[in-house]
Amino acid sequence: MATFLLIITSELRKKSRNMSEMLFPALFFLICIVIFPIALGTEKFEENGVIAAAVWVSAVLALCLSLENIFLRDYADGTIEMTILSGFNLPLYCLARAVSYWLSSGISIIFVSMPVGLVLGLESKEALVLFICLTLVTATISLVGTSISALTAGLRGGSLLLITLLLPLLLPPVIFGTSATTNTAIGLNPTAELFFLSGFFVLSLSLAPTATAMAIRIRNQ
Amino acid sequence: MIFRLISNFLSLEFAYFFCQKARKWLLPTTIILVCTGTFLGLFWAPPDYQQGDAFRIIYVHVPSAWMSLFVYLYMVLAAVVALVWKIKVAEVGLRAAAPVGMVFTFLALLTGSIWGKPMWGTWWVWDARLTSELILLFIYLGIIGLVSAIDDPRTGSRAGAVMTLIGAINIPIIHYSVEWWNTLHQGPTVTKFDSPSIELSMLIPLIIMATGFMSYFLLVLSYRIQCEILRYDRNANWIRKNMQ
Repeated sequence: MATFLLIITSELRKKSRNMSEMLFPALFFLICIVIFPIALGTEKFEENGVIAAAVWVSAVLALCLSLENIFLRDYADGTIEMTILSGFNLPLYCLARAVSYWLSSGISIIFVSMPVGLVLGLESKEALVLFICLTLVTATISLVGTSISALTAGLRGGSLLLITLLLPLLLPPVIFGTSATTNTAIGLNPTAELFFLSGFFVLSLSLAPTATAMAIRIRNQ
Repeated sequence: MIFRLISNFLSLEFAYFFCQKARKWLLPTTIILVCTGTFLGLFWAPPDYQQGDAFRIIYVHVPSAWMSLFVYLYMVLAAVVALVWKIKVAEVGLRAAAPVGMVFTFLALLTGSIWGKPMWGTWWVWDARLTSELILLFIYLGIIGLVSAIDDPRTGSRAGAVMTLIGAINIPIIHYSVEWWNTLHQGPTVTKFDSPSIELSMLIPLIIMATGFMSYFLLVLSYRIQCEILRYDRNANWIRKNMQ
């Protein structure tokens, strides 16, 4: 457990030395949001549900794009090899990496999306539901994304390959996330969708670290 | 005796020549089945009372949709065998099958969209089954991309195997989420075992066609497995001996 926390803190410390890496996901998220009113026209953008949809698309894309960095240098500089040799529980190591990724990128997107959503005109209740959904979904994406990132890091076509592999898998969380926010907007209860989202989170929490460990072992051969 | 038989099957050399022998049977079977199926489907089956002759595209559409799922199932089995027992033949079988499965998925989408234009009035609708089939196509493409992006063939196939398993867990979830999200497609007409809502004279050509597609898959697979084996074992003595 102590090692688990140590990995997380050391990862976060490494990230904090290079602030741009931590800020880019949130910055990309903001820029992506701006594209929507320009492409749709401001009138359509203010229609019911579009703002929440824009927040969802931008959040998912911003997370996916920054996922590539997780293991990018670790294969080349031997970190992964040393971790495997050290005999530390590999799935646990992968879980620690996913958690530290979520703490650095996921949280920043969640906290940027709240004020942005409110400024653009979401009701406070909608914003609250969006907040809970985004927390669950970003955690799910971090977990699933770590395993895909372990498979694709440093390959030809790197980040594009990563996104092609990852986006189809993210369809269910996005479906339930958007329907939770739009249902709240028209006064329906979003509990069912929240249960589904937490189900996806628990499922990925139990399976993704093992898959990541498997991927790391294979790529390291 | 049994142990030797199994270990024979596991060697790439045996698999290579087994594919060659199997093709003697697969090639005529495929030609006969697909030709009879096409003939019966086009001329023998009666026209549909609502859709007229346009329904006959079912004899390509439905078998390729079935095959798109069957190939994935086969790949999942191969992936499990490849990852658990580290058997080379299974790795080869996995990477050989992915492009074939992709083509079946694409064919199912293409014929479906050609069928949809006169029946539903549009090439594409965001219907549950269409969307999940499209996602299946993307998953196939992703696996092919991943396998081909890694230079070492063994590492590539095993990475592809992990991705196949991740996809396998997700495909049912994706299917049901999308279904819950939107559906317009006609319900299944063949798999209701107690009373299929399809006329027998329409069903028989469909089943012949489906077996024909299956045999076509095995035929193409045998060619592709041979190619991949040559890439895998390119420095082996048995290849040098036989290729000269």
